[in-house]
Amino acid sequence: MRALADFVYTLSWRIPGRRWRRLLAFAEAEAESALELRCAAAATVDPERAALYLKHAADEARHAQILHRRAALARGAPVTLPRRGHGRLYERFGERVFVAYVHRGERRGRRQFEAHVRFFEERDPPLAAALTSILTDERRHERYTGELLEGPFADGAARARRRARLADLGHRWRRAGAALTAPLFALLMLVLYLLAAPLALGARAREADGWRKED
Amino acid sequence: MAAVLGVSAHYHDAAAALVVDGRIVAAQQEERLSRVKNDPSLPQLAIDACLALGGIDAAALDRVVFYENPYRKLERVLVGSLAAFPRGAGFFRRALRSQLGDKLWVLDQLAAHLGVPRERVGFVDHHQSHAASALDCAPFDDAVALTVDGVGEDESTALWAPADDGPRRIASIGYPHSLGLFYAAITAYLGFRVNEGEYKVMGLAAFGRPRFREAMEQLLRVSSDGSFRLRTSAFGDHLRADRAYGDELLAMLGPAREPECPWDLQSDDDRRFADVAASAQLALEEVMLALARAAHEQSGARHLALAGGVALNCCANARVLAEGPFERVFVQPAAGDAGGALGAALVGARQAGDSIQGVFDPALGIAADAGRALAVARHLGLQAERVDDPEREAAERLAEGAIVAWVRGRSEWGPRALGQRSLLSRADDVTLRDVLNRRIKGREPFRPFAPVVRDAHASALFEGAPSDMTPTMTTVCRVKGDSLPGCTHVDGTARVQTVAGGGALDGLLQAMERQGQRALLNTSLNAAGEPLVAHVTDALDFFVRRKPDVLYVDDVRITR
Repeated sequence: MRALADFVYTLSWRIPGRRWRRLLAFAEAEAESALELRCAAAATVDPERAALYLKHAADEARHAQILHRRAALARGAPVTLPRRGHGRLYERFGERVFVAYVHRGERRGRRQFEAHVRFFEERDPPLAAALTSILTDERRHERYTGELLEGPFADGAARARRRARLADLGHRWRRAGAALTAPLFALLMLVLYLLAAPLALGARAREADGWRKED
Repeated sequence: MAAVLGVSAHYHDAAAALVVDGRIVAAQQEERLSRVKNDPSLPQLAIDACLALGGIDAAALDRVVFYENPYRKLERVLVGSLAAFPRGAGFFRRALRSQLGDKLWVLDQLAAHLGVPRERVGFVDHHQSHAASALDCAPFDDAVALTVDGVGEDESTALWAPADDGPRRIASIGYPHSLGLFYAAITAYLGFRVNEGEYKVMGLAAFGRPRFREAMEQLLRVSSDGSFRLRTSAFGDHLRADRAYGDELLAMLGPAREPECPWDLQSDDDRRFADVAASAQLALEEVMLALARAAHEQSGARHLALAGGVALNCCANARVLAEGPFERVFVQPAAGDAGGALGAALVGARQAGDSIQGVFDPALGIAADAGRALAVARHLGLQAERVDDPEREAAERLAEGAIVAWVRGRSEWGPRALGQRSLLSRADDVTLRDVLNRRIKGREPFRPFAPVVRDAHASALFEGAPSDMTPTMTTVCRVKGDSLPGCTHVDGTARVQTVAGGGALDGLLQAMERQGQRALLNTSLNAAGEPLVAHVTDALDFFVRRKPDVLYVDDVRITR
């Protein structure tokens, strides 16, 4: 089972030229997670949990930096870390489901990073060392979110875990759907654009410079 | 008497603003709460924050006003992509995806989020929103508004006269002839992020010589009536917000700079890029002056109110005041798209019959919660305690050379830290400036810092200060002498903030005077690429990660 997981998780490392992109995608995910956690820290009423989320966010931000640097090294040139929004999980689901979602993500992340470390141990020891440092944090994050689900959020935790699983599945479904339908949408838009081509002459005629004064 | 919510969203810098009975009650940028820089998404957090600050329920809103016309915007996008046929195919696809996915339905989204009837949700024109935010916040009458940005619905620049039901358009210049587009293209050319790196271009310009002036004059041609024309063929990818320049521009200026490369202004390449920045900045200033003269000629007004993203170019604003025909110039501090939310609310209030009241104060965002800062800091393992006189104590620490994170009251409206969410240090110490740039903020080494000074000392330290723009840091002034090396730019100017009597920052500056210092270095409480801090937890997050010496949240002192 572990061999199968290792193979799946590390498949893209084996494709030439993919390593830096994968590392950059990891960096992006960690940066996004840091934003989610900062929002959670601002929103929770409990100062102790706010502090936990802030510590977690600082870890994620540091991971993003490490992975961004590693992506540039792997590429052999600077790369820009894309800046996107985040899922606004706390805002959408509330704190209990948010914690369940984060816990689920950390568990998955920990498993993946274990596979990545095993893959790079001999192939790229510096990268393996960087990933190991991240893995240590991932284990801690998995542990504390698990403790929250068994402690202050124990009441209703099972339901929260189910909702988190559904939200996660929904997120993956939408992402897969977008990836699958993008080529079809692109084709349809190209056809529409070509059909509208005769209007281009009129559109060009509309362009004018200078002041347009109001009556 | 009406409660009106203004909203900007879906392009960049989403925001919400609340005007009740003609008074500006709250204004909040979404990025500050979502922590996503330039967050364009529907500003649900900002809306909720504004309603909470106003103490009203969404059901009590009389009107909700979006800052631009989504239908005319769609038309412009479609026409623009067709006009660029066949190069516009990619843009057409991307634009339709985002328009049909979100932007076209924004009024329905707002009604659904707020739970208000759809008929209470309307819109005003993009540039009218900008103009209202400038005219209604300006500290003077007898004014004309000049709005200059990338593009609104289909105009990039417009002149506006005040009117009872919202600004009335006098004249406009149509897209793609756009100063915002021109500067965005140069920003991208220099390897910076568009809509964020424009300040960097302005800072970099001071290190260069405008030796590409002739090329810029070909790119941006000014007419005798003050209008301008962009050489659109050089902006071949103007439909791409992240690049915006074409091969013709590369042929004129040389290869573009790779993003993320470290800067070395001693190298030939980076000196060339500094020269390009200097040339572009000069061209922009010349056009802004021409526009100001045209505004004066067409309106006859004595005063000028500026808004739109280009109005954040404080070097150009300084020249407009110094060399232009107006007696006074004011810039609404959130001059970019965020400010459109405020303008939309103000137009909505006027259309509901209210007159706009009160003196504009940019401390319009969420309040600091010192008690919460105290509690969270202790759980983070930090030393946190209440102090009797934070101004006196902070002044002593600053005088000793400390870098102080300073969080007071309600957060600022606009991109500048004005003493509510600031990082402060001595203004006379160059080493502190370098520590701030490299270690604390993680910025490019060429970027300058700004000084803050009480009104009473402004004229002794700076030429042309105080002015209507200095309280909100929307202009630059020449520094007299060499007493502020930590925040004097290489060209001898500084983007000074002046502080009138009263308030915590004034108290701190008075305490600094007792330490023998008349000015402080004041920069935004954020790291490079991050939004300005809003919540106290964001301030604590910054304090833990970036390690300034001490953090004050109202009367709570936090150290390690």
